[in-house]
Amino acid sequence: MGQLNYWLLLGSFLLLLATLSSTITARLGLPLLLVFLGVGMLAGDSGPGQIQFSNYPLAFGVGNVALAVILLAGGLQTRIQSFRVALKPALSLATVGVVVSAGLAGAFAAWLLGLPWLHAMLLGAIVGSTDAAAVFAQLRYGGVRLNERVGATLEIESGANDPMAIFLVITLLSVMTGASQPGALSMLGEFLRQFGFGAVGGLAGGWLLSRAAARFTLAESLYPLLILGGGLMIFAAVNSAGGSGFLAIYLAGLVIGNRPLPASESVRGMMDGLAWLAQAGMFLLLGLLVTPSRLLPEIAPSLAFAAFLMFIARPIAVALCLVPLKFSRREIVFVSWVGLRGAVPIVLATFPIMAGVSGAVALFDIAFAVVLASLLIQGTLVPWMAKRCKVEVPDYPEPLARHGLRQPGRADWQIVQYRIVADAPGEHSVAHAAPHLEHGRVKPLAVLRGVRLTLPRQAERLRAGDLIVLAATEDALPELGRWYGEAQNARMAYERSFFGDFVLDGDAPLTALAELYDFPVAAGEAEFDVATLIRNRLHRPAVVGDRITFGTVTLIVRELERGRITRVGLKLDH
Amino acid sequence: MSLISKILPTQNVFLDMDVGSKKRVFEQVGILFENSHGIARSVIFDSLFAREKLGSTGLGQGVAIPHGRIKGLKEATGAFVRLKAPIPYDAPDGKPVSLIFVLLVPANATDLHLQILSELAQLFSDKTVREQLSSFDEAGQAYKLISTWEPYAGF
Repeated sequence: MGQLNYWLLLGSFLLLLATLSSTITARLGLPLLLVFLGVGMLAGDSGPGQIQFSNYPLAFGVGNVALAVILLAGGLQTRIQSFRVALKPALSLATVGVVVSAGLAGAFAAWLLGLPWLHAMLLGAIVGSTDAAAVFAQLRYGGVRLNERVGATLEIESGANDPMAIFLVITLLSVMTGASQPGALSMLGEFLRQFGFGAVGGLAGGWLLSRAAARFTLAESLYPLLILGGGLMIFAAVNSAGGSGFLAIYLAGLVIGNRPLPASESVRGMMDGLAWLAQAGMFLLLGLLVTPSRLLPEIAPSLAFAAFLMFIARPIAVALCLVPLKFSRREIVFVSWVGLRGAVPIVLATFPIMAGVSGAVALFDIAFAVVLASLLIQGTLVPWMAKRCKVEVPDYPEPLARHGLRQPGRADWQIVQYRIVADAPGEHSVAHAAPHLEHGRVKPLAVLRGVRLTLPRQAERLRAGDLIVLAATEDALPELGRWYGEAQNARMAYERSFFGDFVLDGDAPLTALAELYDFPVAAGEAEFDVATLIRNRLHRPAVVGDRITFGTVTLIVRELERGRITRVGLKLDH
Repeated sequence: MSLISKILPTQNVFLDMDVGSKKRVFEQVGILFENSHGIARSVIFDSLFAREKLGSTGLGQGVAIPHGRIKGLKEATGAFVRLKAPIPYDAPDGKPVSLIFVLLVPANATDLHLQILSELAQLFSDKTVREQLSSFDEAGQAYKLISTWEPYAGF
């Protein structure tokens, strides 16, 4: 009992310390995970903490479960709508991209570090996948909203590429330990089994779980447990059947998250918290595990390897995947930059140690250095790069609170709450003058001033500081956020510099525009409207922020409705 | 000196015009230019109205810059109108409009009129300019403010 309390006290103290110090690092723009890692390292045997810890099996076990939880949470948050623009690029990055960057990194490692080929390729595979949590925590802290194509591609990629990297590592390990013969045919069979079982098990399991959740009436706080328990069960079952449990649990999360789900807010909220706990616990543990004094002598080649991965291998892999899909040069640069490495490589690096491969500890140290360098260099500069590469789009304030309604069928309506900000467009308006009211997507429910709650009809004009409660559909939230939650002057100035001064409707005929604003129209395009023209020039589905230029006139996609361009900004560059 | 100052005649500044809709504003503007330039009011109305069909020329924050190309017009010209009461204009921020600058350019206009448009947008993006234009009592004050305003480069 005394022993247990000792470890619990220590663990919770470290967790608390790391969580609190995150307020400092957020201000510095450092990734949060780095803090957990740092606290773990300080507490470890080379730091002032002097805690002796070299329990790789424990780290391996915790790492596996933590990864499964992180992937489940990631799947729950992935919106299937964004598949329209991001599925192809993300899948290509998650498969071909991983193999190419792992292969290049492995070849470089063989040359630079003089590792045997199999070891070198194993190292490449270990550092092959990007980390969803690292990427998105960093974007959120930076206050950057990416254009949908880039944002969703990175998000789906980072969720979907872990199974590929894990597969490569497991396959290489089974060859190295003599469990299977190296051969193209057997590897292909293994690949098909891992991915086939993983995909089928995950999709079917996710569907069953979501049906079960809808079928049984449980206490609200039990739903997250149902999802967590079911998800881990799918993970374990698929793993023991020889499939990729990681792929399965990610897909299960994806299915569940995109079907109507009772208590979806509390499921998402709790899974988000659990994912953070998993990340934090894992990084603390891994920080304890690593021995910086052992890292230092090898630091130069490790950093060279990390640099090669970041600046050569990843960009080549990304370009290979995204050039055929007509991504712009800027987008490719940005996606290459956000190849953040996080927990996965470190957990994967414990695999060879567990398998008893010779020299495995050295691989672990290098993988650790790569993750550290990636978080520190790439992670810190993500918001800055987003601005430089012009992949961000104007952000909008989120509601103060939101709650999804339980409804059979489509789960669209939400109850949202905003605080009226001074100088917001909606200040001094009446409650039922909210935007989108006429489209039936918004319905004001109540106005709160101090402790007094009034119905919209009886409420006076809104004042700064009032709270308004509305029922709204998801697609009305950007406009509601701007209407109530943001001072209009700063907003307008930014929107103008981004979208230009004038707004055109998507169905505005091109010939009329060309005549008015003096730009050339190609013969084949004379019959087009603006929306068709942009779609035609982009060669890919449009997202907000996409632009095409004619001399001094730039057209920028401003609003989309179900993939159709409805509003276009017109920018005159003088 | 701004391009705007070159195209805005002194007499083309109107405060507190009492009209209730976009169409009525364009009709009034049509009459105005018919008298000063001898161009049929329907030509002006149709041109401005056709532009609105491509998308509202409202900029937001109560400002609109309707514009059109006019056959027979020799040089770009403009008029500033302040409405007595704001009118619905389908602007991007959903707010009604009360400050309107009408820009008319010749059919064969060059790049120059795009520069004028962009200057106008810049002028009205200034909060103090909008507030002052809304508070003046005399047209002369509004004319002075608009014609002496200096654009800044490189925004």
